[in-house]
Amino acid sequence: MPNRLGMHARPCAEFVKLAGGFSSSILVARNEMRVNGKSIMGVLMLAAEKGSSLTITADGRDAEEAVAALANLVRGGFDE
Amino acid sequence: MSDASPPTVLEGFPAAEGIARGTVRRIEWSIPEVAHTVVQAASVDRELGRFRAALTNARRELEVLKSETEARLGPVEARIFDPQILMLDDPDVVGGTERYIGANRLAAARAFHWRMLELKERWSQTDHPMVLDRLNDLADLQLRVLNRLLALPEPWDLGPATGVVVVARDLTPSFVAALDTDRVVALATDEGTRTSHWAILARSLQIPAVAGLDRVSSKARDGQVMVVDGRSGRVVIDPDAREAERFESRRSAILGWRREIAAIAREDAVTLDRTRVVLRANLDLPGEARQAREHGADGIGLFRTEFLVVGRNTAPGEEEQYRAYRHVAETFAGRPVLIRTFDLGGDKFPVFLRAPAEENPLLGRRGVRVLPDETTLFLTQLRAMLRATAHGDVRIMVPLVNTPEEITSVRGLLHTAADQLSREGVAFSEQVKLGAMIETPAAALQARQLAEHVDFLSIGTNDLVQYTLAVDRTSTRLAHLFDELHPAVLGQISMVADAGREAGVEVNACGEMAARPLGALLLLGLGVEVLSVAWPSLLEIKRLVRRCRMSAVRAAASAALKASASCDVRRRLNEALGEVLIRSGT
Repeated sequence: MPNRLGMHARPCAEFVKLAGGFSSSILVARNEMRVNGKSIMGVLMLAAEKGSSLTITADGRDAEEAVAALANLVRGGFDE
Repeated sequence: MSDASPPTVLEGFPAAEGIARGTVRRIEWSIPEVAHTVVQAASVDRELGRFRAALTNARRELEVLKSETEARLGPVEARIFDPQILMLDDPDVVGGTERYIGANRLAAARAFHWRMLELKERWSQTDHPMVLDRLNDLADLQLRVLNRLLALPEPWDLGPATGVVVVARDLTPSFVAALDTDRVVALATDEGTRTSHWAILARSLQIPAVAGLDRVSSKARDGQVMVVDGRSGRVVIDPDAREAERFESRRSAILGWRREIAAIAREDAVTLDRTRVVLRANLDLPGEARQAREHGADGIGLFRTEFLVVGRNTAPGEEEQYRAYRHVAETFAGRPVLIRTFDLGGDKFPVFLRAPAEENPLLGRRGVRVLPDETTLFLTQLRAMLRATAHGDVRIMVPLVNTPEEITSVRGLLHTAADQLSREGVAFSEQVKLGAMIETPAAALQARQLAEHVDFLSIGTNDLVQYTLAVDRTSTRLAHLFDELHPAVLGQISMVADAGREAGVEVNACGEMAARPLGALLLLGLGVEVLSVAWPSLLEIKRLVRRCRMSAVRAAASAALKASASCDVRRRLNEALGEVLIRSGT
């Protein structure tokens, strides 16, 4: 998580919107917590701060693309 | 002004700058209590229908609020409502509520309320401030949906009063986004922080606000006078003579500071020997245009458009782009607004293009090189830019140009866009100016040839330095090698300035070098007399310009051009211009 403010509401919204475009099911984990990547409620709960690391898992037809795109979004720092 | 009782002073978090005095109006609101109601099995479908209708209604209201906020404040502020809109589709929220209606036969309001309580409970276990801030978004949405389901009146009625200080336990983004700033002068709350979404909106609306005040909502009474100091985070109820005096002096200090900014902003950027320098601003977001203008920008020298694509999963539509470009063009009516076509690639590729990974992205598909593969994306952008020319002096610039052919291909696409618009009868200017960014040694060395194909040249110093020195500008370990004053950089800037002068086209510079005193003077001295910097740097550079003599700056630059190393460049500049630099406090 490179961006200074961490995964606050706007990045969470962008993450969930992007995840919602894939048919695969998507899970995001941080430490012990694992949530549905298509649920804003779940992703907000991760409270991922700058420097924290997330594990993105996808299962389905477009799983690889989904993980690549979501990882790209996070690594890009949400353009902040 | 006050009765005999001493004033009550409370300290909180500064949430939005500025100071104001007004009359207290308390807003009492809470999430309504919902009784545990079980419905007949036969009514389950009706309750499901009511729940879905309430969600549809909430979505419609939020979309309206979002587009109004975009028009009033800008796209970044508008996105504050995205989390709430997403919550309306959230499987945890919707599925959970529907299960309670279907399986437990709860009434829609009760099922939704119960589900939200559960989710809040789960969130509250993480006591992270980031999550706690978002509980406020949740409350905002909950209030909207429950008010609909229970047919309750809006709790936000302010009545007809003016000069109002809104006092509440907490506020919501929906409330603040819709505030009438002619009537509400300040906000004061028990809860919330500077990062609460409503506080962000208050800052954009320039309404002073203090949050996290100890029980201000129960200490203040309607009709009392209150001073809200949004910079120090201090609130005074019933100010006495001393506090009133303090308020006046704070207010005049703030006004004085604003006047000083306004005064420098109004002055021309003219050197002591009467050479007029043009200072424009760089923009990342259309919402910054107002600040740029208040800081006296002579136009926009670089309007980056990547905010429209990065981090999004669909390409931006023409209408959305047109609105953004038009907003900036109108803010700078009659002054040049240079909009850069999408500078994608390198480390910034929008996900909807699904670009394959490259070994060396900074040497890969970037800037104008992306255009041949994405003509639809660029055609849409050029159409939107052309339409914006009907509202101001919009000019188009193309990033990372290496050859005249690249300009020719952009011009071809621009003609296509113009033909389409003429056929459709849409207004635009036929005389739109097209420019090339000079960001590579190839372009700098070919500046004379490029100048024949364009209306202006724009030196992007950040990339020009990076590509000339082959030093990644984001590398912290190589930061000492990223040297704007390297003689090879100077030589190229000088060549580009000469090429522009000979061809009779404008040469401007829009990298960070222009925002640094030494860099700005060097650019001016080498013949680049149009500079574009981030708006917070405008006044400093203007002050510098007003304190120097162009003749001395030119002499210093030509001395620097003869230097063999950057330390030598720096020494020569400091020798010639030291006095100007010191007088400018830099």
